Amino acid sequence: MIFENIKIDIDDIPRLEPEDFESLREDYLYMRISSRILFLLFASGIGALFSLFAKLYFGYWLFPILGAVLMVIIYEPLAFKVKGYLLREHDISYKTGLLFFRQTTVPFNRIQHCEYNQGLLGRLFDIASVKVFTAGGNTSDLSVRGLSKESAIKLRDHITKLSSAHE
Amino acid sequence: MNNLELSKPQRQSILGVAVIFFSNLRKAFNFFLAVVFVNLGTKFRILSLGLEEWAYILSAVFLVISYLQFLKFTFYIKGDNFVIEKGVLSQEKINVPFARIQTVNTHQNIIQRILGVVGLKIDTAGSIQNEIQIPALSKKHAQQLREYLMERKYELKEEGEVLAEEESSQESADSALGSLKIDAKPILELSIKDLLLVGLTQNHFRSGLFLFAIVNGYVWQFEDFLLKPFESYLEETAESFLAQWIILLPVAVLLFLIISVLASLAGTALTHFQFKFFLGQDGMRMSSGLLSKNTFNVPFGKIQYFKWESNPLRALIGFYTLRIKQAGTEAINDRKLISIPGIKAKSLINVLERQYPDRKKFAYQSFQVNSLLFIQLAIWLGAVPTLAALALNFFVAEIIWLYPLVFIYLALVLFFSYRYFLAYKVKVNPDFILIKRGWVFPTTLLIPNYKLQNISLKQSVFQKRRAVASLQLYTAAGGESVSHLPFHEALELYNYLLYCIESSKLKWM
Repeated sequence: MIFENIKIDIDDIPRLEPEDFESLREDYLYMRISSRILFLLFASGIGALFSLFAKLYFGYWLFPILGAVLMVIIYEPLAFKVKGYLLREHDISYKTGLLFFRQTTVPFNRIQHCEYNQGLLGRLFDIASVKVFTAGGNTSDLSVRGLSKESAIKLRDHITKLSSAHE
Repeated sequence: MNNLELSKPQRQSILGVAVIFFSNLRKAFNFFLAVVFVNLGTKFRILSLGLEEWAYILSAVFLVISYLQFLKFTFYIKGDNFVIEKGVLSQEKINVPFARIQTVNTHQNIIQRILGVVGLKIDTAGSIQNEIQIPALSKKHAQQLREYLMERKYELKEEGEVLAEEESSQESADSALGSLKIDAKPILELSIKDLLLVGLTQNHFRSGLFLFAIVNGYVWQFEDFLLKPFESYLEETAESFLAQWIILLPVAVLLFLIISVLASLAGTALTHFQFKFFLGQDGMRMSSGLLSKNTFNVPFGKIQYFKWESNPLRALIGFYTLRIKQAGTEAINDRKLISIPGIKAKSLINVLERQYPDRKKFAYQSFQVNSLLFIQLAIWLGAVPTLAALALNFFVAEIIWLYPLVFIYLALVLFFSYRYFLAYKVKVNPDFILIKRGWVFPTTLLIPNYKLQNISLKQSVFQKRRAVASLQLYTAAGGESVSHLPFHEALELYNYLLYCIESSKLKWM
């Protein structure tokens, strides 16, 4: 009992628990892994060029990159389990971060505008994101990632409708 | 209404040429300085003209450019917009809808003061990126324009409100008359003595470092010309310097201290000279400045929250610095001018009473911060310098007296971290959140719950092990954090504040 002695009872306040969150589409996990592996492939390409033309010992780049691949394969599925979003009547929340957990909630009556976004890889995996802007500055903006294109567009329209009702 | 003919494009006062000219000159000054430095000692000649001739020619060119800029700078009113057109080569047209205007401020730099003209700055809700200002207007004209713009803004607001709610029209009609109603008598005025006290009790370390950074920037910019000639001399003496560093260090520290104090005194005099703070029915006004005189108007709606702080020196004479955090870009908030230096506890309470009369209507519920705050602070502050010192002793050379020094330092870190932890207080009631933190530099924040924009809950792996979490509270004037609350209390507070935001019908701006 934390808020005794004030006009509303704490039990009446809607609660938002980490367990309530919806998990993201599994394709988002595969997309993240592939995007990181693509980057590492690019990096090993540069390493290979150095080995070919500058006689750099290939172990200097191959082993760290293999280690990084292993890290990606172990870390990403674990981190994926933490990610999730939650749409409620009056707000939207997103949580992320395995080592540094962070959960943000934006009430609809504070939203300035919102954006739908789909990247190059996102088109391949049918993954899109919705970014919500408030007056709280860049660091406070919330992006819901790992949605299908269809549901992302639906979510954006829903948020736009609800937030403009507060104008 | 006044005799402003704003339907047709208007130019500013002819003295604007001079104002624009000097502001152009100031922008070019750094460049000129570099050219002069490069050619110091050598004969500078381009097209058989010397430095002086070129200076005259460029000045003349600047004068012509400034005159053209003046001619092309017009402002007028079109429908519900205030329009500014400017630009010689590329034309620029800035449209400011009256509804977007937050406040209209006046400012005077030294040139404008000498010429007796006033610059007008239009502050919008931040959605319009360009700086909207008219550099030179006669005092009377500026006053009229300011009043006219504010009137139009409130008329518009009133129309909107009449449609929405009939009762509130009475109120806004009142405010429409006087634009921003301000008491005639300032609530706070800094005398020369107060100014001196404020200056002496600044955070000298910060002003010293600031000055050092500026000077350092200039020195490196002209490194080649300033240091090269003395290089051989410097190298020779460097070794003997090193031997004497124990003697030189205290001298350097003393010099740094004296310069820092002088810098803070000068800075205070420049920004806060003749500081006046007015409180009114629907806003605040501040005016101050020695070389450039600035007036700021802050409507109450734009204020997001209050932050007041002190330091050990100021606490002795009972002075606080009150920072008024208003919505908008960070750049606006960073300016020292939106802070009120040297406010006594009594006036501070007076201001709070006017702004938030209901702040004690409901009881506050306190939250106890977890001792992880103390542990993390002590580790961060203590471990790094200690390890560095030990590594120095181990790998480089053993300096015996470093051991007691490290010991004293660690004891101090433990003591201060513990005091910081004890001083950290978080209190919440249905309308406000009150955060107190800092022991040496005590800071208090008072944030109305409905001014919050969104909230984050953060938990690092270290915090997770101890079931602790931090909250990050975002307002339109920046974010503030609440560190290391027990996880369940943090979640409870998170839910509660969200409930406050979502159930509030009040507008955050």
